[in-house]
Amino acid sequence: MLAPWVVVLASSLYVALLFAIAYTADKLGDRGHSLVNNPYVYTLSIAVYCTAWTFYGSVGLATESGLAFLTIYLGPTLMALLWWVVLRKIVRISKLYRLTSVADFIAARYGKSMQLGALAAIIALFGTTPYIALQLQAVSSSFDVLLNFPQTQLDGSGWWLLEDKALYVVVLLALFTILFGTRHIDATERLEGMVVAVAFESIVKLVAFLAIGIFVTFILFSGPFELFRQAAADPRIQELELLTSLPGGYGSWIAMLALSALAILFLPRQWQVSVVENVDEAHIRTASWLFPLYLLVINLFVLPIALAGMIYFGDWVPADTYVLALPLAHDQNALGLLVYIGGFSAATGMAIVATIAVAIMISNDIVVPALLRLRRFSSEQRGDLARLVVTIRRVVICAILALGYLYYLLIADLFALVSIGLIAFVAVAQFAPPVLLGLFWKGACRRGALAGLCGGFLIWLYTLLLPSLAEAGVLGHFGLVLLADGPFGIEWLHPHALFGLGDFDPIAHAFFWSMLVNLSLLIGLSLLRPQQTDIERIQAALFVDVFLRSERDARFWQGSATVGDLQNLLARFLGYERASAIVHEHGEYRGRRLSETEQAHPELVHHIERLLAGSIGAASARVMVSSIVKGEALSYEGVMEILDATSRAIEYSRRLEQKSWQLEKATRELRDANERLKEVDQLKDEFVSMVSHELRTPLTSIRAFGEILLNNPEMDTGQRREFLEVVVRESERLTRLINQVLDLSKIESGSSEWQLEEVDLGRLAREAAEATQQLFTDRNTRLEVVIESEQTAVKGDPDRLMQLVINLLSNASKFTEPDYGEIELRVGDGHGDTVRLAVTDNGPGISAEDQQRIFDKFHQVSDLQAGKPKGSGLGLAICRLITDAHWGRIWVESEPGAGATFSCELPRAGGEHSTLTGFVDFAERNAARLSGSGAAR
Amino acid sequence: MSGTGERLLALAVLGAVLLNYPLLDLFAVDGHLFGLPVLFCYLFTVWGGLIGVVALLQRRRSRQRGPTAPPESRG
Amino acid sequence: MSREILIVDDEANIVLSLQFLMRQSGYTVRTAEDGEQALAALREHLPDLVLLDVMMPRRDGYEVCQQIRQTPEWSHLPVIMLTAKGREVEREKGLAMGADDYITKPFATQEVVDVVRRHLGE
Repeated sequence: MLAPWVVVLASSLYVALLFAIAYTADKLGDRGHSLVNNPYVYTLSIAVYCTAWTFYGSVGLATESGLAFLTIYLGPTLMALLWWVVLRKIVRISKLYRLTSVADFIAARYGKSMQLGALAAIIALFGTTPYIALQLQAVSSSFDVLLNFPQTQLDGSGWWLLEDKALYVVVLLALFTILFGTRHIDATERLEGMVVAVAFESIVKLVAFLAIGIFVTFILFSGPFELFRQAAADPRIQELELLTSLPGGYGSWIAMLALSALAILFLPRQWQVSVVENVDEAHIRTASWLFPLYLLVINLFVLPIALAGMIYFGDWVPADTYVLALPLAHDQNALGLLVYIGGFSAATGMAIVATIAVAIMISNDIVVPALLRLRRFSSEQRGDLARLVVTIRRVVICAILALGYLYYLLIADLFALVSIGLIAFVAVAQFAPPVLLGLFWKGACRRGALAGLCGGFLIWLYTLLLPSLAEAGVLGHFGLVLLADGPFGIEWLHPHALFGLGDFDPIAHAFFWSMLVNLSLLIGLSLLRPQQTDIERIQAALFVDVFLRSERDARFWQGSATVGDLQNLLARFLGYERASAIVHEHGEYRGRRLSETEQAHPELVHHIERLLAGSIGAASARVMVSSIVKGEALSYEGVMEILDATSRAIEYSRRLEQKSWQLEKATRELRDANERLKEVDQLKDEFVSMVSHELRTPLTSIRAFGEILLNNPEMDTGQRREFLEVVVRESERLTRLINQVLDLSKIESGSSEWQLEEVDLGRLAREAAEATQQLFTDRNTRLEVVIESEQTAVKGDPDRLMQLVINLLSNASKFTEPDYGEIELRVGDGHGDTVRLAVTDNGPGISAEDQQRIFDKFHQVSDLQAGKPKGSGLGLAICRLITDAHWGRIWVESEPGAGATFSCELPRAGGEHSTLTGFVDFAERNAARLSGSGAAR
Repeated sequence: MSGTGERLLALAVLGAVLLNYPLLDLFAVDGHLFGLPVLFCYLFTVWGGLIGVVALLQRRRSRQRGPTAPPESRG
Repeated sequence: MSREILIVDDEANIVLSLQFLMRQSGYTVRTAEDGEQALAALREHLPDLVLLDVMMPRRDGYEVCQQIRQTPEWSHLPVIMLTAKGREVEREKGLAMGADDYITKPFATQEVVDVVRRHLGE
């Protein structure tokens, strides 16, 4: 048991915090640091769906029908999957035409019909009042539980109005809603403070519920398994089959699923947060998975808590208060307080948003149109209507909350939390046919929508509201008869079993009949009497094709009005300054200053109508504007002509855009290709130049000595012989060079012709050593061959691999001192699944710089001693090409002065690369590299 | 754009079937899965699965809206 | 006193042939194998003419030629470039670097002798 002052203080602090958050968010928003422009706040604000009903009622429901309570959250999950299709379209339309509520949306869709708007607002009011009452009841009873537990049956004595906690809550709610809900007259302007506060409340209630869930599941019961095990053994739970069945059956399950799926879209508060307060359509992407995730998480512990409550308390504590009673029964007062605050936040969040949403509907779709009609607010009349509208809204807010409070005082006590919520669901579900059909079917007509809404609403009144009043005893004797035998004893008219259809529970029953009537009337009348007025057809086309058209299209005023008149009209609702700013802005858009007496462009008229719609609703805005504009509005054909012309222009410009994008892409590709060609060209150029240089050098010696010998016949024999030897040596060099160039080009272009077979690299190394024996003998160099491994088979072309080894050996011999040279040829295991072949010499070594480039064509290591036979500069380049073609790699390790080791690793036979594709790929890679000799052909 | 819409629609239909009778009858049995009632497991698994797929779909699509993409067609 | 010619080339056999030709024509010959050696030889004492190969390790012919032209006491020195790269651009570049003449490998022996003589004013 908690001291009352603790609870009061906690509640007050929490409310103060809420005010502070909303105030800060509004101030930040005014300064341009919007907190609501992110998908997470958006998602959390949508979680206003979870009210006190979720917080307390779900557990209550779960004790009666097990997992069936989940339908209320599974339905919204299914709808959230479709948000990207449905909600995005609604958001786009609402923003484009500044529609501020579901009632406004329906009114605007069906030819800006005042009747429809008013009817929808009334339905919303009927649906919302009991719902608000439900929140008040939850707050008040949770307060009582907190103070009086374990005593739960309250005697009700001493219940003065002033002692009723709910009254204070109502006053605070009214204050909050007026402060943060009516900051602007333009209802399309965002209520950032309210949204952020509601998002914050969503966090609080989630945290609180998870805390109690974890407490119950893991502390009271040492884990879910233990809990479910005990529950399965509990006789009462067994009897109810809570864990193994879904009481209520097919009809109920499907009806609840559908009902809650519609509720998540059409509850006034949901419409407010998800449509009106949406900042960016892209946020819907995140919300469509994050919001269901929120629902899943908050519902994880509902069943465990319900079962725990049943096990602990049995019947002596109402199931709706288990969430509070469980911690209190275990002396966890702090946790109890947290839970209470969680429930408090769930209740207040709902009440605030629902109140403001319905207040906007009532003021924009009922009161303002009524005033316009009654007092004939003509264009001549001056006066600040803005203040009037805001005042109306504030009064309406108080009225709605008062109504909710009244409802709570009178009858709310008699119902379980859930049933009141579901009654509201069925009421707002009536919006589904006109909105959803109206979104996708141009043929849905005003008369059908009106009749459908009326019919559905009447059915709701009769099958749900009337019986609930009767049950509350408000209707006296008539009510008793009604519930027992049907009205005046007519059984087939029984409100819970119309035409004898009594197998459903009352909610499913009412949902079925009201939807049937609503849909049939809407579809039937739309099909049977398809004549629509121009404005209806225009609006239908604008709504259904909203993604096809641009913002500036929809102007259908052709009559004349002066700029001054329009500005004055606007000023009455938005204030003089804003009105003239807007007109001035429009003038800038047209490229000149607008004078007061000139005729307004139709676009300006339309623009102003839309602005007004945000403040006083679409239907009233149309009435106001038409009172100024003299002459007819455009016909449907006229508007469509403009629209089609614009859509054609849009389509055309879209195609142009696409074309130019494609062109740009093609240009880029061409430019890239050109770059590559240039590069290849340069490579080819360099190669030719290098080959030319390498060929000319020996040729120079040959020609020079040839001429010298020719011109000096009397030269002594010794010198003649020396010169002739030079000629022969240089000729050999020339031949070698030509052969290597040919080899190189053959490897680069024709590797696919190679013989692929299994080659034992060890044996090949020995053969290569034998073949080059003469070379080493001549220079008196020692060659040692070491075969370290038995498994040295690779797949490849034996001739090429032989060439590789010989090249490496002759390279080594070339760079070692005659008589002192020591060369080692080693074959063994390499990294991974490879065979390594390494040639080590004790020559002068290779500098780091040269190591990088030594495998490039024609790269010759500098500072050779004079007189040594020079390499062609192609030997190692050929080695690299050969290893590349075998999916191998080649590298050199060396310390200048301490010899060098050339190593290559080739994949073993049978490995992944030992197939022909390696060669084909290689050919392709090479083609891409387009080395000189390949391109030179 | 419309690709996402179609996929989500298909997913919603799938979800409506999975979270409905008569499939639920299959799982409304006396039994335990990992120590939890079968029905409880089934409902929360399907639920979580649906959320996961949507998240995947939406996140992938929103990443694809890069600046280099060609101008999207309206609608 | 006979005139002296500095032959710079990294190809020993080409140096050998040029050496023979120049000596036969009555010149004294010194040789260098690369750019660095060439500059060292120049610093040691100035020859009457330089036969300079372009493609050499450690400072190529262009650099050596440029160095010669930038050094005041060497600037009058006739430089004849030898190159195995037969493209017109190379010739242009050589002349732009301050070479007095330009011979493409492989050369006719008579041509080399004639060019050297001409530049020595004989």
